[in-house]
Amino acid sequence: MIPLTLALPKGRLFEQVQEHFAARGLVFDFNDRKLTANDSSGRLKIILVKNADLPTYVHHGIAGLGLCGDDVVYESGYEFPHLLSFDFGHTSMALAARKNHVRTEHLSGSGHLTIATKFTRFTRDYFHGQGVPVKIIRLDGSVELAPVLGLAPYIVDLVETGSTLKANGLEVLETLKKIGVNLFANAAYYKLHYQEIGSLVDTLRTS
Amino acid sequence: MNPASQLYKLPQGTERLMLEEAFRRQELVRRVQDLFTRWGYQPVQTPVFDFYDLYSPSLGRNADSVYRLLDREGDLLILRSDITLFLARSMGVALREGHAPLRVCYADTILRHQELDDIAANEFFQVGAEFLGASGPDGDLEMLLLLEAVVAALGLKARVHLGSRAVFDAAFPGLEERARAKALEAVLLRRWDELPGHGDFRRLFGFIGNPDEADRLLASLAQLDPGVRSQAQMTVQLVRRLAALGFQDRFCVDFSEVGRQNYYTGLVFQVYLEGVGDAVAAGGRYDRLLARFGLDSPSVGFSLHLGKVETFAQLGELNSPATALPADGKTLEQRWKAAQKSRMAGRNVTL
Repeated sequence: MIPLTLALPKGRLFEQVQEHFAARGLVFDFNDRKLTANDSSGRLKIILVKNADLPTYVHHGIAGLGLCGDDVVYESGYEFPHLLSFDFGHTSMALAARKNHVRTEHLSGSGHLTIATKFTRFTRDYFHGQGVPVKIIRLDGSVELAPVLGLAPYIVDLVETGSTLKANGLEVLETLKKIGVNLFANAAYYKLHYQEIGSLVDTLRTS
Repeated sequence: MNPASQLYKLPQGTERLMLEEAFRRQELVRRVQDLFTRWGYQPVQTPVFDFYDLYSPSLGRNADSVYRLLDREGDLLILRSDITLFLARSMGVALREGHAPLRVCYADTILRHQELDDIAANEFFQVGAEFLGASGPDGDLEMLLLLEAVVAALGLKARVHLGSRAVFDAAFPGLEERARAKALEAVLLRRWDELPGHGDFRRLFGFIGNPDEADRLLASLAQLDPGVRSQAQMTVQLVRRLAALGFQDRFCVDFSEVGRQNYYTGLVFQVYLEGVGDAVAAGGRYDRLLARFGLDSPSVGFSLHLGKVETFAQLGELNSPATALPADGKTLEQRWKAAQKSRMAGRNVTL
């Protein structure tokens, strides 16, 4: 049996994914700083990649399957056949500002919002969809600093518990989208391996 | 931009092939063209650019990736981004109602924008065939058999997935354009919770399998209306006819194939190859496309992105000009005489 190739993201999701898979008989570990591993059943070859690179690997078919948050796929601009949504790793994309920030702009109308974010595509599409012009400042990390230091009055970022925002004197103004974690496939890879993929999805769906 | 950085930068959407790579491309094209000739398909050449407005209603999802430019009279032009469209326009004008069925083929470059990180798309050169005036299942079958012959001639271990835009159209009649595009996307991306209609549609459009499995599925879908069912059965019947000709492993029924181009009206198909992250060839029936350009004629065709299959094609040993040896002789005249003899014997020789 040739194993299916699956890209998993490094970072916050990894342990939850590992646990979810192990509970269904798909046990794997990455030893000695290796970035590839096979699961114990031989059904999967897993590659560990940086979150933002994951859709690129799947798009080019280097990994046939991918698993990550909606936000990552959206930012990549790629679209993939959806296979399964997981019940862990949920988070929200939110608009935040300093506590007691006084809005001088209107969320609809001609005034534009200046927003610092890592999620530039989402932010642009979301606010343009609402008819709100936005000026976006791209940042790759510690976005919470932007309102504190005066780079931009608003940020758009993922919010789980809100504790980082709170610690920096910020608050959520609006939840823009619920973010879920999904398994998806390269379209051509799915067509060539739909039976094995269907059986993997059945295994992962079991509670 | 300074001249040095321009020298080394490649514009997106362009391709350059040299020496052995270019020879291999030439050989691939020659083999496919020979095959088209043996099947009675006549070559056509389409212009590199044309008036944009003629094509804009037919571009669909590709509208963002076409190159546009202004000519000296101020008309907006489009560079050739899809040969089927350019061919339909040429044929729509050139042919007259009631023309005899016409089999045509092409091999040419296309120009589309490609994202910086999407260089593997390899969508620079299309070879393909179109059967104009072909109505009904026999026209579909001829095109699929020709496609199979091309795939076999290139030694590709590929599989063709057959679906139907007519099944989708029968399932979702009267949807306004935006809702229709969303429903198409739901099928293509298997986002079943976004698909309108009843639960049987999810099972129908999610199906991939052989004709017997497809028959069992259709028998189990009680909610399907007769129009959808009969279109689906036509697709199954086509795959059954291919299987009866010995191609049961090459073709399968796949109702999630509904076609990305909005000019399709019936059969649609895509060809998949292990190791390639995208379909390598695609085609289908477009009975109303030529009418947009003045000729109401049913048609079916396909095109193959040659760049996607180049490294997988089994061409055997090639008699490349790079293998040429120098001819014997002291003077150029002597070498020319020796070389002529060697060339007659099929060897490549330089002077």
